[in-house]
Amino acid sequence: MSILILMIPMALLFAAGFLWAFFWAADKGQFDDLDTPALRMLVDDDVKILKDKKLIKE
Amino acid sequence: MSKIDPFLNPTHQGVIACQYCGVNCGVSHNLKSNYCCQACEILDKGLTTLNEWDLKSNQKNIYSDYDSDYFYQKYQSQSTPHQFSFLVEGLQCSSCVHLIEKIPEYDSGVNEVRVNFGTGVMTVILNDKGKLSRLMKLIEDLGYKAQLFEEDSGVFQSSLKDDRTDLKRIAVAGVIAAQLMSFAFGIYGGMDGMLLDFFKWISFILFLPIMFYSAVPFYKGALSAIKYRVAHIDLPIVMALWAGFIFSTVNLLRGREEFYFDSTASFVFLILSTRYFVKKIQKKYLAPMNLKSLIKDDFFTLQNGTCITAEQIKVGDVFILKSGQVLPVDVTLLSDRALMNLSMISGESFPKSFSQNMELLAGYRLEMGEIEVKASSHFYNSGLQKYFNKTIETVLGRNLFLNQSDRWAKMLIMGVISLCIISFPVLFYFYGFQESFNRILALLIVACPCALAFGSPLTLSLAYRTAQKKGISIADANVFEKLDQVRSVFFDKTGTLTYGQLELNLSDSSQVDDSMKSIILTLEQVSYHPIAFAFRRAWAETSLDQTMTSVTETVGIGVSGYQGQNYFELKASQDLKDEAIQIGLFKNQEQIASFAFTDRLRPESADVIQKIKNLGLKLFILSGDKKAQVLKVAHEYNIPTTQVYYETSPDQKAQIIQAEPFSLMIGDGVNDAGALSKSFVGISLQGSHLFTVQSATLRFLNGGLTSLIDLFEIKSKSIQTLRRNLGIAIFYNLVSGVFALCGYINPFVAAILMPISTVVILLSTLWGVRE
Repeated sequence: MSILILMIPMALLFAAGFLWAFFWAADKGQFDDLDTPALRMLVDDDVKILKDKKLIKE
Repeated sequence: MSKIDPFLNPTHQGVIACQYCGVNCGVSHNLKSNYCCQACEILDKGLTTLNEWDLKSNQKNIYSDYDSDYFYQKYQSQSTPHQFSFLVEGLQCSSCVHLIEKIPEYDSGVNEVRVNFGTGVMTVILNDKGKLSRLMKLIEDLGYKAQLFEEDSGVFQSSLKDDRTDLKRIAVAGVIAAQLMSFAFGIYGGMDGMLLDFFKWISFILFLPIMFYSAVPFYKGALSAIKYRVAHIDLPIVMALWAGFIFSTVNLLRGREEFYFDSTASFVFLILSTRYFVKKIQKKYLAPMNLKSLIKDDFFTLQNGTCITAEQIKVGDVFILKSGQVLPVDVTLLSDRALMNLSMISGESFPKSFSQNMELLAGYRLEMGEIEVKASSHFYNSGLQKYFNKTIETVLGRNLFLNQSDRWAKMLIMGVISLCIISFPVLFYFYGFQESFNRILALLIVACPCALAFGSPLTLSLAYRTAQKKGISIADANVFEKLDQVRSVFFDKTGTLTYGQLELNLSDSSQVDDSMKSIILTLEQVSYHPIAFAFRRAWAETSLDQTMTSVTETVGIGVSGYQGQNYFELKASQDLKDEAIQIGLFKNQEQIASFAFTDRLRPESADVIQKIKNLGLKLFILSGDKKAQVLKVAHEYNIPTTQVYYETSPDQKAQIIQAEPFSLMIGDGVNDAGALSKSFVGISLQGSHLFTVQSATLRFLNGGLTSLIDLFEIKSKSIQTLRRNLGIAIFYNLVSGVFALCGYINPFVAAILMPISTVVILLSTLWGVRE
C-alpha cells in the first residue's frame, strides 16, 4: 500500500497540470467564442472564390 | 438599406431551405436563387457572380467619409492598434462567416477578419493600405450591413473577463470534486490506520480551494441578499456549504467518520455549471440587443466640407443631408424644396413635400437629392429624442416585474431557512447536538430549491434559443409568462400587416400598352420617388423608350419629358381620392391614363390573423393611416370596425394601448414606439427603426409575421414545462424535507438526492422544450 504515498501526489500533480493548462487556455481566449469555429469548418476551403482576380483595385 | 426586397418573393409563405447550406430562413434574399443569403449564392456559384460584383464596387462609395482621421481615431481599439469592431446584420449561416472571414484574400488592406456568429460582432485588423470605407462598401456588396462601434465602450471586455473567471471556478470545482470522490471511495471502502488519516487530511486541504475560490460567487450573492433583504438562492447554498465544511472539519479533528467534503464539492460543481450554462445561453441571445443601443452611426457633411457625427451638430450649424439619410436633429430647410418621408414618425406611406424655411423634425428621411438645412436643436434635445428618452424610461421600469417561479423559489428559501431555525431547538431537546445538526444539514442540502431556481431560467433560456433560431429576439426575461396572460393583440397596419411599400394597383390593365409603359418608365428613370420604384417593380421587363428627350423631375410635382413633339407629364391626377394614391399620365396637358398605388398586404397576414383568432385572442388594428385604407384591410380580415383605430397619432396609440390591459402590440414604425413600450408585450418587426426596437420586448428578425405563430407555440411549450417543473420541485422538496427532519435521510444521502432532483428537472426541461 505504500505505493499510494507516491501515487497520490502524482495524481494530484497531474490534476494540477490539467488545471494550469485549462487556466492558460481560458486566458488565451480559447473558450470565448464556441459557436463560430463550428461553422468555420463546415465550408470547404477548396472553393477558391475570386482568388486569382483581386476584386479591389489598389 | 437592406438588399432584401419582399416584392421579389411574393409567393413563398413558409420556410425556405437554402440550396447551399440548408439553413431554413423565413424569406430568401432573392426568390430566383433559393439561397438564404448572398454569401451562399456567391460560394455556390463561384466565379459567375464576379462581373456583377465588379460593377457594384465601381459605384460611388457612400462610406468615403469614414476615411477621415477623426473616425479612425474614434473607433480604433485602444488595446490593439488598427483594430476595429463592427456589428454585422444579416448573418444567416456558416457561409456568411466563411465569406466575411475571407475578405483578407481579396482586399490586401485587411490583415485579419474574425466573426463571432453568436453576437454578430466582426473584428477587423487593417494595415497601412487598409481603408474603412472600402471595407464597409465591400461588406455591403456582400449583402450585409456593418456598423462601427467603439469596442472599448466597456460592455464587451468586462463580460469576457467574467466568463473566463466563471469557467476557471467551475474547472477547479470539477477537478477537486473528482479527486475527493476517489478519496471518499477509499475511505468508505474500509481503509484504516495512518492511510485513513492521510486521506482525510488530503480531502480537507483539497476542499479549501472550493471554499475560498470556487464558491466566491455564492458569497457575493448571499451578501447582497442580506444587504438588500431579499431571499436569494445563494443564501441556503452558503449555509449548507459552511455547515458541511464546519461539521466535517470538526469531525475530522475529533477523529470521527462522518464528513461530507466530497458531496459538498460536487454540490458546488453542479450548481456552478448549471448556472454558467444558463447564464451563457441568456447572454448569447440577449447580447445583440444591448449593443445596438450604443450605436449612433450616421455622419453629416458641414458647409465647409468637414464631416461630423449626429452628436456633434450644434444649433445653427448648416449641413447637407443626402438622399436616404434621416434627420438627426430638428432643422430649418434652406434649400428650395425637399421631399421627406415621414413614415418613421407618423406611419404615413406617402412622402411629403416641404419648401424653404419650413421646420423639419428629427426622424424625417430625405427621399431624393441633397438638401441644405440649418440645425435648430441639438441631437439630445430634438423633439424625437425627448420622446425616445421617455420611452426608454418606461422600458427600463418594466423589467422589475418578478416572475412566478422566482417568487415560489424565494418563498421556499425563506420556508427552509425558518424551518431550520425553528426545528433545531426542538430536535436538540430530543436528540442532542450531533443528531439534530445532522438532520438540519440534510434538510438544508436536500430542500435547497436548486431545481426550482435552475429549472425556470433553463427552460426560458432554451425557449430563447428556439425562438432565436426561428428569428425571434427577446429583450425581457419574463416574456413567456407575460404572453400567457395576453388577452388582446394590436396590429399596426403600414409595414406590419402590409409591406409598407407602394405597389401599382391597376384596375384596368388593358388601357396601358407597352409603349405607354416604356414612356412612363423613361420618365421615372431619374426619380427616387417611391412611385418610381413601384413602376419599376411592376414592369421590370419593359425596356426604356430611347426617343424621349429632356426628361426632368420637379420635386413635389412629378416628372415630365418630350417624345418628339408630344409633351408627357406624370403627376398627381385631378380626381385624388382617399382610398389610394392616384397618379395621372398627361399627354399635352390632357390626362390619358391614371394609376392607383396601394400598400400590399403581406401574404402570411391572413393565416397569422386566423391562427391568432383561434387562440381566443381579441384582434385590433391600430394605425396612423387614413380611414379608408385601414378599413379596407380590416374588411379583408373580417375584423369588426369597433376593433379598428385609424388616423391615430403616436400619443393616441400609446393611450389606446395603455387603456387595454394585457395587450400585445406588434408594429414597425417610430410612431409605434410609445404604444410598444406601454403595451404588456411589444413586438417590433424586421426593418424597424432602432428606437422602435428598443421599446419593444421582442423583435422578429425574419421578415413578416409568421414568427408570431412560432412565438405562441414556443410559449405554450415553455409555460407547460415551467408548471411541470414547479410541480416536481415542490413535491420533491416537501417529501424530502419531511424525511430529512424525521431522520430518514442523512446528509450524505441528501447530497446524492439533491443532484438527482436537479437532473430530473433538467431532463423534464430538455424534454419539454425540445424542438
